[in-house]
Amino acid sequence: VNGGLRQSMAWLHTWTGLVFGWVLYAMFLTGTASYFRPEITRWMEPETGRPAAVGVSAQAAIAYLQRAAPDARSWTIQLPDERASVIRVAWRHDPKPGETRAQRQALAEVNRAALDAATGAVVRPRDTRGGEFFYRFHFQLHYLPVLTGRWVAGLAAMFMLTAIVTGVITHKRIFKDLFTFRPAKGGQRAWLDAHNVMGVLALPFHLMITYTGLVLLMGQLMPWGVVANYQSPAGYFAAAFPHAPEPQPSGRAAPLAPVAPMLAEASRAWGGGRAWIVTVRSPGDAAAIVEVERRSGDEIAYRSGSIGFSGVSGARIFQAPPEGPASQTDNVMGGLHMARFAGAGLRWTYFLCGLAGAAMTATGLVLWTVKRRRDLPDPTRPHLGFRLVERLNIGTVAGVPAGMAAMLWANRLLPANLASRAAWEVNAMFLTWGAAVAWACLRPARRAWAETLWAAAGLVALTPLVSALTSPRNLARSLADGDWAMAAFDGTLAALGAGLAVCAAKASAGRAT
Amino acid sequence: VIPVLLLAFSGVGGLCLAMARHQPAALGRSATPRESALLRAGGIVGLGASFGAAGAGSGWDVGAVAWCGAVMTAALALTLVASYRPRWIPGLAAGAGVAGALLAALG
Repeated sequence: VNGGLRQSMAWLHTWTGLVFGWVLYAMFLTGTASYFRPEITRWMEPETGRPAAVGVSAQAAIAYLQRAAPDARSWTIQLPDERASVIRVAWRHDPKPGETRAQRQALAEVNRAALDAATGAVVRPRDTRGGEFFYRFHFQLHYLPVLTGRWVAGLAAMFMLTAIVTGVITHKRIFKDLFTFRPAKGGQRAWLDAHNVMGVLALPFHLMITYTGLVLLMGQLMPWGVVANYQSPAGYFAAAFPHAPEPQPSGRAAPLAPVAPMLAEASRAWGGGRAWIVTVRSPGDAAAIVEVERRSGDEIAYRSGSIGFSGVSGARIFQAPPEGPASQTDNVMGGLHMARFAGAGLRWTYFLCGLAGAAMTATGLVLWTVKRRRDLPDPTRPHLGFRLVERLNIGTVAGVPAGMAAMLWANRLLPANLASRAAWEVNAMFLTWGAAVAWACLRPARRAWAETLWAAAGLVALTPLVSALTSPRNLARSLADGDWAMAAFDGTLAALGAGLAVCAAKASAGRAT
Repeated sequence: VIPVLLLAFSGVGGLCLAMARHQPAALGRSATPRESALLRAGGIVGLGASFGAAGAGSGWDVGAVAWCGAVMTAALALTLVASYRPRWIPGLAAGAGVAGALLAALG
């Protein structure tokens, strides 16, 4: 590789990394948290129990729906697995004439319920988006129209891919420097070592996660194949993701056949795979159809197909055809990204690699200022661009974890009857992030690093304490109940808080930037 | 997962010890070319054994993913040891190799 190429690649690496660096850091952290989406949801709904042997069958959920929404157009039942403690049911009616999209969305928020998986009792968790928020944010951001957010996230991911490839080309001693981190050398050397270690040792993960993330957004980012071959997006979806046909209601009432034999038959057809989402269309009508979707995560591929039954006779009337090679490749890539197939051990390695990605992004952002500080004409009065990057770095690197913890605090501290409570939990995250940026702008840089990092460490590490004081979720009870996921949740927050405290202590000692 | 991780750690440990840059800090001296070649071979054996344990334990599709994750995690952990306690690398890598092999054989 000649010097000219390496130099232009270094330029590209520096600037592609910087432009979306702050967004990418937030995407990495929230995306990494999403590997524990069901656990975060369960923590944020302390009214729900812990996963137990599922004592309630899908039939009990149907009995509930027959009482709660006998005349609905469709019922949806999400069966729990070993990470969830409730069965979630929802129902939809035919749209009324003149009903707006917003009204339908508001109805969808109301027409749902959660049933305890062990007892079948209705549970009413507090109004929260749970782990779903971090998951949504990491690919569509927030306060933006969904499609706009996905464009920004998609662009950020493309810049990330460019930064990864150019970073590999730029790195002069990728093999010689393997396993090398020299914190004692301080300054630029130590930051570059840290950046390289996080980037190179977890490189397969970074490449995989960025590329497959783009593949998941592919339909939006590169729509031309679909546009050229299908009359409408709906035609493409019908062809790519086949589902049981939509029944035409006959108007004749007929009782719904028992679903247990349908679930058993579906499981046999999948070689022992588990049912996940059961949809009943036109329940109570002679034309009713029951569609059973396989649990996402039974295989590496995340869409596992469905089987449809007549709701009256129970006979199998539909089975998703095997996927073509391209569709299957897409499906496996999406599955690799989401890691729903991963058992506990593998999920933790995904989590650690995701943290390495966040650390790589953060150290890269810090390097931008470390490298340039020496070359400033007057280091006490840096130019506007330098100040902007430096302040955004401080406010974001410390502010995002602080904000994520603030959302968990808000989940425990906001009054239960607050209007738009779930939205305020989310606002708490961005208010905290914004406050960190504002604080960084008002204080001398080095002190701002220490202060915001200490604040983030405190918010993260004290979250289990706030929970213990305000809700039934506390470490002692989790341990006594053998609820290892919730005990690990507290332990992980304490460990992450300790990690932030180490960074804060180093910044206080004057080693940062 | 535990034996896969332990064997991966012994593997990256062997590869690290085979590198001239890490030998003075980790071994207290430079290794001869022959020793370095042996360490490198040992590292590759450790990584291979880790792959075998992952495939045998979780099937070759999920196992391959799990192995990649284990190698990355082990490499990050090893870098921490190399930075702060380099003299521990030989003992930890050997111990992880023996423990991982025993666990894999038993499990």
